[in-house]
Amino acid sequence: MVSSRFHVLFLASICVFAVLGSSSGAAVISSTVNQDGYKTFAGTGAASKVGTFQMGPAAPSYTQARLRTWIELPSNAFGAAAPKLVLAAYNASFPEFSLIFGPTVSTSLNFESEVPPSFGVDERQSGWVSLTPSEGTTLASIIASDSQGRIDAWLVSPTIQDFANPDLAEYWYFDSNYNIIFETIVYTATLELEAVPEPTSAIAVSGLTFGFLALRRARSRRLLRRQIHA
Amino acid sequence: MLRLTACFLFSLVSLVSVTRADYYFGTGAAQQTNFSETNTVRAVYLGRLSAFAGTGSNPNVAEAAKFTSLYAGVAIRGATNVALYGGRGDVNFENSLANGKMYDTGLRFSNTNQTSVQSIFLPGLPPPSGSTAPFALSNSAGIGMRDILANQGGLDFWLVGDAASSFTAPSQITSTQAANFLVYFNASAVPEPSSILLGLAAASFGALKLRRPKIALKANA
Repeated sequence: MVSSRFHVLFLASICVFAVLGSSSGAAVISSTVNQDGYKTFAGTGAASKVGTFQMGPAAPSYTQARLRTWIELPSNAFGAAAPKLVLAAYNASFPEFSLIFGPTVSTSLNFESEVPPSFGVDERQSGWVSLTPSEGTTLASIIASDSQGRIDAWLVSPTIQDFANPDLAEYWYFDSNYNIIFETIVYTATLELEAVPEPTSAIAVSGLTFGFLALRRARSRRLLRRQIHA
Repeated sequence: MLRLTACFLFSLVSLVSVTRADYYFGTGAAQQTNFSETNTVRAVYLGRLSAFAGTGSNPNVAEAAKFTSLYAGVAIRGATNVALYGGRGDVNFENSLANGKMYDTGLRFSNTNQTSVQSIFLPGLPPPSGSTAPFALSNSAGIGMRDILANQGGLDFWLVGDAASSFTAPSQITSTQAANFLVYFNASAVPEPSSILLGLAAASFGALKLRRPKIALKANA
C-alpha cells in the first residue's frame, strides 16, 4: 500500500516538474512580414525600416532576438559601420541615431558584408543575440504600449548610407521574340524574440499541479481509511 | 547659277542621308556589378559590354560611323537624376572622365519610389517591346563610344550621381536571380565609296540637266 502511494507520488512529481519545466522555459515569438523599404538619413548615417512586426501580447521581458531579412550591403559594412537592429515603438517617428532616447532598444545584432562582398540583395539569417535585462524589459514595455503588440524593426548605421532592406525588386528577361518581360519579387523578414514567461502563468501551473497532488493524496487517504474500516 | 547651287546642295544633303542612314546596331546586356566609388561624385560601375546582338541587328562596329541613339535599362534603387556614362575604364571613373575616356549619354535615371529596386528603361522600352523613339546621342558621345568599342573591344558603363547620394544598382535580386542592365544602340553606317560615287554622278547629271535649257535660251537669243 505504502509503496503504491509513493509510486503515485513519484509519478505525480515527475509530471509536476515536466509541466513546470515547460511553462517556465523560454517561449519564442515569431512574426513574418513584408519588408517596408523606407529609408531615412541623418548626417553620414541612415536607417532602413525592415518592417512592423506583430509580437504581442507582451511578455514581462525578452532574453534573445534574431532576424531574417533581405538586405543590400556595401563592401565596407563591417564593425561599427554594419547596420544593427533597433526595435522601436510602432509607427514612432524615427528617433536619434544614438537610439538611446525614447522607446527604442538598440541591440547588438548586426549584418556585416560578406567576404567577398556580393553587391546584391541577399537573404541573411542572424544568430540569436542576447538582450540585457534592461533591454528585455524596455522591449516588453514597447510591445505592451501598442494595443496590438506591434513593434517596428530598423537597421541603422551611423556611417554608411548605401544599404537597404527593399520592399520589392523588379527584374527583366527576354522572351524568345526579344520582348522584355518583367517579374517582381516581394521581400519578407522574420523577427523572433525569446520571451521570459509571465510569473502568473508559472504560478498558475504550479498551483494547479500541487492542487492535483493534494487531491490525489486526499483520495488515497480516503481509500485507505475505508479499507481500514472495512 | 542659283538653280545649279540649289541642285548641288540638295544632292549633297540627300547623299549624306542616304549613305549614313540610321540602323539598329545591336543590344548588349550583362549582370550589374554594383561596385561603387565616391570622390567628387558617386559612381556605380555597371559592367562592360563587348558583344552586341539582337534581331535584325548589324553589330559589326567596323561598319558603323557612330552611335546615333540608344535605349538603356538598369535595375536601380534610391536614384534621383543619376547619369549614365559609357566609355573605357572599370575603376577610377573620375580619372577616366578626366582623360576623355568617358562620355555622358545624356540619360538620367530616377526611381519613382525610394523603397524598391526598380528596372527602369529610358527613354522607354526598346522595340519590339515598346514604341518610344530612342534617345539621341551627342556626336561626341556617339563617335567616342563607337571608337572605344571598335578599338578596345568593350564599353564600360557607369551610373553617376551626387557624392551625397546613396543609390545602388544591385548585382542580384535573389541568390539565383541576377540583376541585368541593357544598352540598345542605333548607329549610322560608314559611307561606302560606291554610294559616294553614285551620289556625285546623280548630282552632276542633275546639274547638267538644269544647265542645258539655259544654253538653249542663250542660243535662241
